[in-house]
Amino acid sequence: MCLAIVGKILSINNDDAMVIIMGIKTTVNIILIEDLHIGDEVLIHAGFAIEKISEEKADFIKHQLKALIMDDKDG
Amino acid sequence: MDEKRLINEINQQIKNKVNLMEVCGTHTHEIKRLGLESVLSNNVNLISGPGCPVCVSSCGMIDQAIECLKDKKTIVTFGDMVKVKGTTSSLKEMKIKGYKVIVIYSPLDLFNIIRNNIDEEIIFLGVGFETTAPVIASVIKQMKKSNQKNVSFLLDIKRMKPILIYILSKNHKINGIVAPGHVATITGSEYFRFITEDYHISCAICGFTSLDILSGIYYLSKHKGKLQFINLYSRAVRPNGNPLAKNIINEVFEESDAYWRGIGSIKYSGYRLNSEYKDYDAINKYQLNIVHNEIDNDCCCDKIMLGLKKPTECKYFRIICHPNNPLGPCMVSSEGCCLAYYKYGRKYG
Repeated sequence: MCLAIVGKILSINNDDAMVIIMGIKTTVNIILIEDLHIGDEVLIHAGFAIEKISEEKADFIKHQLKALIMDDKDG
Repeated sequence: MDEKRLINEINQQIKNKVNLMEVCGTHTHEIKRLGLESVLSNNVNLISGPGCPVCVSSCGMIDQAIECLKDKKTIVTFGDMVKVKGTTSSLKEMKIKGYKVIVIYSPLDLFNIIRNNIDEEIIFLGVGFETTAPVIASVIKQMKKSNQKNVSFLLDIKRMKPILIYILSKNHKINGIVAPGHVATITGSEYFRFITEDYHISCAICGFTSLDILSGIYYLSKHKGKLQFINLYSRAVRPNGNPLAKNIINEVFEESDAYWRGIGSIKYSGYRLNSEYKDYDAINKYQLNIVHNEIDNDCCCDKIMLGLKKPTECKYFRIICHPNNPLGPCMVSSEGCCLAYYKYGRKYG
């Protein structure tokens, strides 16, 4: 039920945006997100974009793991 | 860093049993689909909690939806909900008998349905956790704004924090919680901090790829005995969540007691429409009387949902209870724990 998938914004038209999800284009509602731009990636749940994917944090998990494992080896 | 290395790291570092509970149906299914239990050390005990909203939906809601069908109303709902039984029947069985049940993917589809069925009374039977709440709230707000008269909402929306408090306040052996990433997308990671601060259990908010889930398991098993709280899904989860989504939840809903199938009523564990939106509340509009009965059988879905039993410990699992003859909601819902064990794992049973 809480399944959500990632799509990329292709165009914006008021409360809706055209997104591409794994090669398929569809329309999603974007009223739950502020400051959305073409090219942004969003998390989509039940026809609504519910959050913008942070580019900045995209590799957070890999950095975090690297640090944890280094910590293991050192400690 | 790849999955293989992470699995090796987990297996090498874990010397004692660690019990980790996930509370999201999507996590449950990914863990089983990927076969993670078959490649991880036996010391990693993955327990599935009540993370599937369909599984915990009240029989009384489905019974009332069936009564509304008999009263010539149309029920619109999500796909999984049609298969779940009330005390006597399911919406699917009613549809086969000729009653009008419409399955939708998004509550947005309601706009077309009410437009195309202008002379009918439409009731949306909606379930979900905090992830789905703002989506449903947005549609209800729009319905009110456009003054739609032939639609109302029969809602069984649950909140994650009260059920976690319920589980963690009882005797349990949980060492860590893999918190649901998409609930946290809405609520924020801080919503789950009480797990560590109040109940002294480590918690990792996780996404849904194999690397996300394995990272959570690694983090929680590594820190057994050392309290930790981390948001490993920061690419989609901010500390305070999505403000617009939280605002619309607060604008349309208020916290209310909710009934969890097989578990019972839990204080303030759900959302209902607030007084501003009461005209759109099907319970209020049609004076429905929700009676929270339970199905009378020996199904142990209640214990499975609380992580007290695994599906393979149920005497009916695979023998009498299977997808063609589900005895309980955990076998019905596509996110149910029993269905995940059935679909992906003879090796687990």
